[in-house]
Amino acid sequence: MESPIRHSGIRRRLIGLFLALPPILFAPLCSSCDRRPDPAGAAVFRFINRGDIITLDLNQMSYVQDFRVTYAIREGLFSPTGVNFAPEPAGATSVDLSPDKRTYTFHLRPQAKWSNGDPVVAGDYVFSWKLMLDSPGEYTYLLHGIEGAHAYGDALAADEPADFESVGIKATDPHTLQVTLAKPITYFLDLIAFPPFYPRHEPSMRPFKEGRGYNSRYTRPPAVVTNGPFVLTDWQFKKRLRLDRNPNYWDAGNVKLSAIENVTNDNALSQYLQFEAGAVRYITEVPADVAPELRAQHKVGFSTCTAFGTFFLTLNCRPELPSGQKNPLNDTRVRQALALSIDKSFITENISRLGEPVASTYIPPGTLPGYTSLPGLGYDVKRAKQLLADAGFPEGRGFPKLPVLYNSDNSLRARVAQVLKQQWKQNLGIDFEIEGVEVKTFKERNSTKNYTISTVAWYGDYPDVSTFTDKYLSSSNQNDSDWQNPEYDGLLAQAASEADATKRFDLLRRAENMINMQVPIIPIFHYVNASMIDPSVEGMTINARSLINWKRVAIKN
Amino acid sequence: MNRGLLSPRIIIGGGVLALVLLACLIALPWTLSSASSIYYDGQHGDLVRGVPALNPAGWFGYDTLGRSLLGRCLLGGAISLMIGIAAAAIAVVVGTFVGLIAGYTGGWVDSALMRTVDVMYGLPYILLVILFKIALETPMTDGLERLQHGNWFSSAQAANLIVMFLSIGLVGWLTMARVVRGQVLALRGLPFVEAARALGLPQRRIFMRHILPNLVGPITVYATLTVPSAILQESFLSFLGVGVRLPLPTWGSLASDGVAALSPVKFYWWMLLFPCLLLMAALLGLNFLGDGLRDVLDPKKDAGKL
Repeated sequence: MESPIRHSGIRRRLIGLFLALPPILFAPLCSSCDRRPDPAGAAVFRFINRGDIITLDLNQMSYVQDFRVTYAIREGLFSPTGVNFAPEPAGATSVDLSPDKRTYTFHLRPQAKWSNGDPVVAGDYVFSWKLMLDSPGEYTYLLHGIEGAHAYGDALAADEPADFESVGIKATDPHTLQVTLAKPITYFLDLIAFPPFYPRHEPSMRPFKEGRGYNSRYTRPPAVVTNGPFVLTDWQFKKRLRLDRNPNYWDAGNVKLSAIENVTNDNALSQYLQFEAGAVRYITEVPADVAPELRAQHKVGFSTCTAFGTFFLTLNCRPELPSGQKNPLNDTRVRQALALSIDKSFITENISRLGEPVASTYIPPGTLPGYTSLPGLGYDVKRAKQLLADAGFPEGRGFPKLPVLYNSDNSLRARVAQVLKQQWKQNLGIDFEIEGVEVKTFKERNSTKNYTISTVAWYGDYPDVSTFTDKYLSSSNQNDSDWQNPEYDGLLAQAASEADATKRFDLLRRAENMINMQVPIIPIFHYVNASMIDPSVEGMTINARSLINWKRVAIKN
Repeated sequence: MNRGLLSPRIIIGGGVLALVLLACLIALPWTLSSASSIYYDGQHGDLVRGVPALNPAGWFGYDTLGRSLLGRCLLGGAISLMIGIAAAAIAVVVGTFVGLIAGYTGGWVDSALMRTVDVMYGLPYILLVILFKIALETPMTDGLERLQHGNWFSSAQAANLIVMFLSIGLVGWLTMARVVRGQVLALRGLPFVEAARALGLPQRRIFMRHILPNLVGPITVYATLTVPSAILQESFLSFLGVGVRLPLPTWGSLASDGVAALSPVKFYWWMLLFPCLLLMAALLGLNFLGDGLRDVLDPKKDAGKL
């Protein structure tokens, strides 16, 4: 991928931050939510999907709840439904890869149909991908690895003549799609299993055309036409979405549920109460204050899994602090000392309490098949003291009083900041201050590097190492710590043009290890997603990327 | 007068308030010393969320970081009451002064002062507080630093506290000014003031002997109401991230931590109960005291005896 610009995971998680309200206020809500009888005894799977659905327009989508519904109603050439959510053929039956690993030829499934009975043809993919470029959104950059796509998008943006013929997306016949990449991408099949690469049905969208794009009303029933195992039949704004089994789906025989109902509830605590009352069988998130208690009580239905994200401290590596004084964190030894003197297990055992794995590496281990990180820095106070003394601050003497920044709406981060202050005082003899600011200021100060140490997080966008490592390129505008290392940039550049997956991972492993050892960031723990699943639900496995294989979900009688 | 001061309301209110305040103040050497078991930032790793126990540090239980809640409640009380009382004092002094001048002088002075008050009322108060904080905090930190070179206390933290009650006080005088001005306007037209003027008493004497004593009631009541509102405003500001900095506790922030520990699955009741009990005791004490003092200080109280 050429563009290093990634949106930060914070945005997708933002909704959860506003939900920590006193529970008493919401307790009475649940008197009305007894389980409604399912019509004709059919299996309707009712669940609460985080917050409200923001949009189902593939161009605009970036929230995890929107993707969750999209996986039920749409399908791409490949779907993330294989073992360990690896991509497996869905809309395509097979794919041929050219020897230079740049040209993919997809053979479409002849019996694949839209929900209105039309066949799914290669032109539908071309149409949808072209639309991603014509009316760019959050994830358009994922298409920029395709030959000519970036140039085409840039030309459109600059109002210059753009020729789609030059883009490497071709329908050679109704059931063959040929994609040419600018350079090999080892994880391309993972990418096309992601909704921005799904096909769209142009005839049903025609009435909604607006300029170069489409009004997102095309995603609403009854107009919407999709090709997934389910079809959206009812969308009551801020109330519920109903998805019914799609009889025209090519694999309809293997779809177990007859309908899915996505109940909207914006309040995390009342979501949990609705689950407790039996009104829904699955809630995708558990309120932050309740989850640790449920875990401690071994509550039936409480499930966790490692998320594709890491909570870490970012350290400002510039030579001067925002205040103009000399920045001690500019010295790698100081940064290492700070990292080595944090007892991270205290934080996961007493503050976050969801069984989060303590992080010594940037990338969550075990979330990317085939990739293992080299070991990072552990907890070693003796070495930390030595490093600090070497850097000219024996026993912490002469170290300036620096602030640790956090967003004050996040009580977890506030508590972590207090623990850090205590541990650094105790282990290194350094006094820190704690500075809580409102969340908008917080983000702005991080991105303008107007901080010294800040508590942040990063979630991967797509299943590859580069979704993490690209953030710390010297040229990346997401590089909050301003750590610049030509060797690191070189390794990533080498990896980007490496066609062999194993060799590429080796390069990325070395690059990631540079982050772990030179400490522009201090990983604290890897996030854990918690959800509640009713024991009557089968075939639901929660996983790092919040993917659900909707075909396999069933309700036991 | 002496009998009035012994009214049950004053005794109970003042007693409770004094008890809480004294406890908070006397405990300061321990709550601020890192060697003590009730040190406000002393972490006892094995006692995270520990239930109340018999040893003194554990009377109120432990919070989410294993710190003695007793120590934090006592220090929090000292900080909250200091902010409340200091902010109320500023509000009362500035408000009474402005209100008196506006009400007694009248004319364009009155208009100018009251329009200023109106304009400041029109601005969201939180914006004003933040503006004051931004304007005052850096010079205050630098000033304190120059005074004591960080020898006794952290300049940034002290400046944070001082600026905190300065800004709450500087915003809180608006209502006070209006109340006092209204009262003065009403008093000025009353026969006994006219009589005093007709007798040729000097302005100062009219002011001190005839007007001010009649204002003491409303001022006292309003001052006792300002203390709790300043305490509550501080907790709101702390939530916005412009208040007292962590890990320093205040009753407001302790109570909000307590609310966060309230869930339908498990309820760490001590984290909510104790800070709220103390806050409630102090506020009730203040209200009782205010009511009692108003009765005592009312100059018309003895009018019936004449």
